[in-house]
Amino acid sequence: MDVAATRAPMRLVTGLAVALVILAGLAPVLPSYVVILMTEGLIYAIAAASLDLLLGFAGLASLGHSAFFAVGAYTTAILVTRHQASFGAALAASIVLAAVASAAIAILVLRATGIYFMMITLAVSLCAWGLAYRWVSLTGGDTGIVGIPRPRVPWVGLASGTLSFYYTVLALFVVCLALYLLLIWSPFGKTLVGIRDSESRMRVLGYNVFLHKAVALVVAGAFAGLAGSLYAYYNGFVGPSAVDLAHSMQFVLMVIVGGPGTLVGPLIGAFAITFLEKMVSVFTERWVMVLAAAYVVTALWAPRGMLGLLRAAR
Amino acid sequence: MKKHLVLALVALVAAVVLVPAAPAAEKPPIKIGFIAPKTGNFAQFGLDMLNGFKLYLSEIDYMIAGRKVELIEEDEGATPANAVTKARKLIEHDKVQLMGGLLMAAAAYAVAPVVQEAGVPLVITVAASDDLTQRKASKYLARVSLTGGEHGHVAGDYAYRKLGWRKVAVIAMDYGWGHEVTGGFQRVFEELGGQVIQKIWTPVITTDFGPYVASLKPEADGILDVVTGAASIRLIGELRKAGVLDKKKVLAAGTATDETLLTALGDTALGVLTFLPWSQALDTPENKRFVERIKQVTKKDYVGFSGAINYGAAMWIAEAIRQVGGDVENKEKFFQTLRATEIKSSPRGPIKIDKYGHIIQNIYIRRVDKVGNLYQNTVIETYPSVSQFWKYNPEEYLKQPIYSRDNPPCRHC
Repeated sequence: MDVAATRAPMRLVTGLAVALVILAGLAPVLPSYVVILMTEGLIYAIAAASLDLLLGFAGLASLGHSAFFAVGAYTTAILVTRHQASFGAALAASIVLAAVASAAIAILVLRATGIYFMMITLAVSLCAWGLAYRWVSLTGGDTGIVGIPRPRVPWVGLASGTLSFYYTVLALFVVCLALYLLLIWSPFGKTLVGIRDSESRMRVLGYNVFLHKAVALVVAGAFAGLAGSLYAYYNGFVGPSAVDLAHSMQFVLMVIVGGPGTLVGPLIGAFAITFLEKMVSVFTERWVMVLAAAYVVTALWAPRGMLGLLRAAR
Repeated sequence: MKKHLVLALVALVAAVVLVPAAPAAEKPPIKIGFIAPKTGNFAQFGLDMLNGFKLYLSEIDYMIAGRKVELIEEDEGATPANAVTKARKLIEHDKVQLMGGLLMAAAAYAVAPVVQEAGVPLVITVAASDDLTQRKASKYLARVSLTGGEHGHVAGDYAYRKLGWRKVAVIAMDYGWGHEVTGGFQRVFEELGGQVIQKIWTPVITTDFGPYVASLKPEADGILDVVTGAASIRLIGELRKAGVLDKKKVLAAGTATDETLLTALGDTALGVLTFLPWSQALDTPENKRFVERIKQVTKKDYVGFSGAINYGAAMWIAEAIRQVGGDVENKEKFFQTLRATEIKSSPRGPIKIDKYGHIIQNIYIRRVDKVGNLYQNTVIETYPSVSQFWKYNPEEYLKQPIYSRDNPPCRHC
């Protein structure tokens, strides 16, 4: 369907490089609240892109992605507040545990397809929420885990904690982006697209469809865990709200609003929704309605997401 | 066409995002950021908070010590992560000199490090998380609301001495407020010679309390109830249905019979005893005046507890600002004043702050009665000037861990 991203890699890479330079260069001159929001946008962008790997590229409509995000977030929260883990250790542990969780889940959910897959992944995220809520000794229950300090990173010559954290997140974002691109351009990535378009055909051609899907789930889970870890540092706090139904749907919506199957689309979608949510709530209490209206407009007039709109207009 | 639409939208968002705050002329206004839930589960409390706080500000024409006061309201929403983002926005974008509000205990715990890092004072006007003025106390935090522990202590004393209870079963919500009230209660009650024989923790979102009520031990003399908000309506209904309220007395944390819930509770709650630092029926001239005025704003018969304590909070903040002559920019002086400010009378009684930043206040024992057509929480006893540490030495008190699900442990369960 949308192989445009792979058809013109040079243009894509140039575009992304320019965007990254702007993101890096603008930060010191922007008001610090905007930098804070951009940090949040980047974290959600990593998570949304990881979901796009499943939803857009592999055709696996997972509604339970926040479960792996939450595993990463809670892992970091627990390790940092109770065991004084370093940034690197917490990040690594979050990625690994999220990957392990998604491997375990993969065996369960990949038995289903289509709408049943959506249902079972939704159930998974609700189970994760239930665990976060009731396993009080581990997760702090309703109160969650508070007091997560910002990571210690040796950035030289930066004035405020906001900026150094922003650049830390940006650096990790660049790394993730590079990995994502390598993944979708690799034979593995192309196979995923083939599976999305016609699973039976791929099976007939001799591909191990189950293994491909499972690996996709694990990889996506690992990236979500990384994003979750950064989220824990960003908020300084993790609670069951990180894995509730609304949060799960937020990831899906970011991918859809941005444009599924394009990788760049969800990045834009993540930024757009983060800013929309936070900025609109300043002006009106009915910000949820505005957000909902945006979703409805997207569904009706831009089903291929914002990126699809831009492409169609070209 | 579509392309232009998208570009226009992007430009609009960019413009909105990048417009800086307008510069001020002459003496700039004092900016107070106020975070309260305007949407979500606790929206009613948030509304009460704002009404109470703004009522006082409007009575003084939003002027303190010759400077205009600008109140910037933000929505806490239903999750603490929201509160953290809004706190950051108020500090970085609006550059407030003081923050107030916060309802959820988890939100207060999450926002505290943010204000400490930024050096902006926070006056918590509802959230009860004990530790913020105990083991996590800081000069940037002051609280003019309540803690769970202090209420538990009062309840434990009242239950043993006045109600004559010796064995108590507890049914409490499984979160900070429930843990801290129960912990305080158990400590004082058992030190006096009583026994807590059962602790039932209910998830915050419980809708059906039937099974919990059925499992209450019959040998208990009384029930300690720490279930608040709309869930209280369901629990008290179940207790009445099971006949528990006819045989024994229920002592509940006052938010279980908050004035805003009394109509829904109806006759089922008659006779329930509660403890809280205020009641609409509190018979002081200051309170009567406040109740009259806030009723004009809300056009309702019942005034919520959140409204009253936020009115008192606004009074107290204004007094603190007056004491520094409006010079809130001088941070060190302002912090010291925040600890030293006293109000002799407010709708809930006198307000004084201890050296950990928490209020020393009267706690009232109330009983739900019906007077004419309306219900009320009649004040039947006053515990004056209650400290968050009860009668214990603060340093000794703080050596123990915070009251939680497992502390104190249930030795007689």
